This record gives sequence, C-alpha cells and structure tokens, in this order.
Amino acid sequence: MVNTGEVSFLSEFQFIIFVKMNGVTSDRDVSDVNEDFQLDGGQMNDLLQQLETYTPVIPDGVARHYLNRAGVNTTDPAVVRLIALASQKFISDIVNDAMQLNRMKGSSQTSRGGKKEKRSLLTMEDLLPSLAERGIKVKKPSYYP
Amino acid sequence: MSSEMASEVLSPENGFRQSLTMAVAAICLECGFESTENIVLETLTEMLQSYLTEVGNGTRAYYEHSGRTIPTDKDVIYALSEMGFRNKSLLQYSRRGKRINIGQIVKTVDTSNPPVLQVGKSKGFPTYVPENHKYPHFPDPHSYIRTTTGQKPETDYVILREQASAQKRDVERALTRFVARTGRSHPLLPDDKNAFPLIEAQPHLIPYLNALLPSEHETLKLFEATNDQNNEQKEPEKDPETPSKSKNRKLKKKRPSNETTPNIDAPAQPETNTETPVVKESQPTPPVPSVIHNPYLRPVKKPKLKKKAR
Repeated sequence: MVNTGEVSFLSEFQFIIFVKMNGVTSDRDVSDVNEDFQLDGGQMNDLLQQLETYTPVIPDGVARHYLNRAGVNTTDPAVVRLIALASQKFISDIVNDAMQLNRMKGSSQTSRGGKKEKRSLLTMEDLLPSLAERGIKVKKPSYYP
Repeated sequence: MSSEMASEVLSPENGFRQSLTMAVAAICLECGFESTENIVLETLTEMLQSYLTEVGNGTRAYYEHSGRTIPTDKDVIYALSEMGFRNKSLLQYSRRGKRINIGQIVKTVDTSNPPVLQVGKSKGFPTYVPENHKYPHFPDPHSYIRTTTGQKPETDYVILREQASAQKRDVERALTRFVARTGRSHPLLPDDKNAFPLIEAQPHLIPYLNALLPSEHETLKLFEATNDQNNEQKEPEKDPETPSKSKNRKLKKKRPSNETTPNIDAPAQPETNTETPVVKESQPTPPVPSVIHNPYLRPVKKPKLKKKAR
C-alpha cells in the first residue's frame, strides 16, 4: 500500500505526511503537504458533531459491510459515517469536475439563444479526463467484442 | 434519472453493490446530472467500493499499529491523509445545503446482547486522553481485582459451645413446632393458641398391650428356635403328646412349673416330663437337623465322574 512514509508531529492535532503511493507520485501529492488542507482539533470536533446529525448518502449498513470486508471491526457509528462521508466526497469531487467539463463543452457547442439544455448526461467522455487529473487511468473498450 | 439496476443474481454481495450504485446515482443527481451512461455508473460504483475498502485497510493498519482493536476517528483521518484526501474540505462538504438523502436500510432485528450487570465503578481514563474519545471503557474492577471472601472459623471454646447448644435447642423447637402445626396439636395456653402448640397425645385403646406383647426381635428369635426344635423333636420322640405338650414349646421351656399341671395320664406324665428336660439338658449344643436348608452348610458331595469313552 505505502512504500515509504515519514510522519512528523508538529503539535498534538496537526500533522504532515509525505506519501508515495505504490511508486506513483503526482504533483498533487506535493501540494497536499500543506497545513491548510488538514483538520484542526476544534474542526474535528465540529465535524464529529455534524456527523451525528448528517447522514451520508452511503447507508451505514453498506459502509459497515465493506469495512468489515477490509477487516475493520466497528461499533462506533461516527467512524463509519466519517469514512462514508469521505468516500462520498471523493466521488462527488470527480463528478463535479466532470460536470464542469460538460458545461464547458456544452456552452461552447450549443448556441446561447436557443433553449437551455436542461438534461445533462454524464458520459465517459466527461468522466475520463476528470479521472485522469487524479491519476486514475481508465480505458474504455472501444467496441463490444 | 435513467439508470438500469442490475438484478440478475440475488446475493447479499449484489445487494450491497446495488445500494452503492444507488448512492453514486444520488451523488450524480446532486451534482446536477440528470442521467448517466450505464458504464459510467458501473465505473463509479467500482471506484467507490475500492475507495471504501482502501480507507478501511488504511484505518485498520493504523489502529492495529497502535495496538488497538477498535478504530478511532484519528485513525480514519490518518488513513485518509495517506491517500491524498484533503480532510479540511470535509467540514465544508458536510455543511453544504443541497443534500440528497437516500434513507437508511431497514435492518432485521438484531439479537442484542443482554446488558451486563455492572458491579462497582470502573476505572477512568488518564487526563491526557481527550474527552471526546471513543475508546472502550475499562472493565469492571472485579475482573482484575481479587479479594478473598469468607470468614475465619470460630475457635473459642465458650462461643462454640454456646452456639452448639443454641443450635440444638433451635432445631428441637422448630421440629416440635412443625409436627404440632402439621399434625394434631394441643395448645398449652388457653388464650393464645399459636404460642405454645404441643403435639397431641394419641392414647391407645388398650394401653398395656404394648407392654405385654413381645418385640419383633424376640418374636423372630423364638420363631427360629422353635423351628429347629420341631425338626429335631419329630424323630426321637414320637410318644403321644399330651395337651400340655403343645407345639409352643417355649411355654414348656420357660415355665417348667407348668409341667406339673393336672393331666389324664398322671403316672405316665411325670416320666415323659422328666425325660424331655433331661433329653434337652443332656444336649447343650443345638442338635444338627436332618435337613439343612442352607446349601453352604451341607456336607460336600463329590461330583460323579463319568468315564469318557475315547
């Protein structure tokens, strides 16, 4: 999973981690080494409190099932919801980028004077570049064998 | 939202996968897409599943590294950071207004563990552990603290003697009260009938009968003795028995004075009467009867050997 990892503790709640994932490094990793992207202690408490009220899209049972598959034994719903929320955000970010790409393409192609195209279809054409930005390479089969 | 749901095989794994697909569809809807391609949905579902599993693996690595068996929120944060996730954005994301709620899956009733009786107050955490921790509580103190139970036995003679006598008195009193209460009772005090119940005496119709009749032990002994004498007396003496010579020879034995009672054959009587005691007195040891009932007392008989014809 991780080849090398260095951890340095600045304070009780803040930390910076250098990461190399499976030998693949991207520019993103270096830029992530930044205090602004990490959570404060007080923010952590806020987040946990939010989790109690806010239910992620992924149901608790489903998330717990996949965590059990990974070997995590949980009785705490906060941990489960935290992971579910993070996964949800991960996918949400990708889809948001694809949406922006779609709108960019749509605005350049269709004329402004015509009807506003309300129906937006998420296609692989929008998804692939969005994934490529994150270093996830997906190959779409060009034909059905 | 036109998305096809794959419902080919009804397995629990597929069920979980389907709910993930639904979650992905909800996310797409939230972002503004009204429809997706099927392959897009499958791709995103696969990614979501892999991401969940990977975060779980990372979390497990962290909490197992710390020697724990239950994950905490910190472990999750570390694992997410390791995967390049910007944790700070989580707070803002959780506060966003536009949300789509699928709803929780209704679970079948779990067989919950019955609440464990807590004995004593369990130990608290040290001060350096933050208050919003989710660590499991310490077990009951009795699970790791042992105190010996029981009392030392009394050794003082005076006390023991007193206790013994008190116990004896209590037992007797309780027992007599029990019999009096359950059976017929006769109250001692006429006013208070429950204070001193006495066991009611039940007099027999003929009170002196018990004193006159011989006990069972004696009866049995005499029965055996008379049996032996009957077997022995039949052979040597076959003279006509006078009415006084009854089968109950114990009368003869015990009351020799009665042998002189008036009989028909007066001259013949004293002779026979004197004979029987002489005969009996000359044999101090009990005579061996002709038929021994006990097979182990019979004389040994050699088995007949048959000559085998070869």
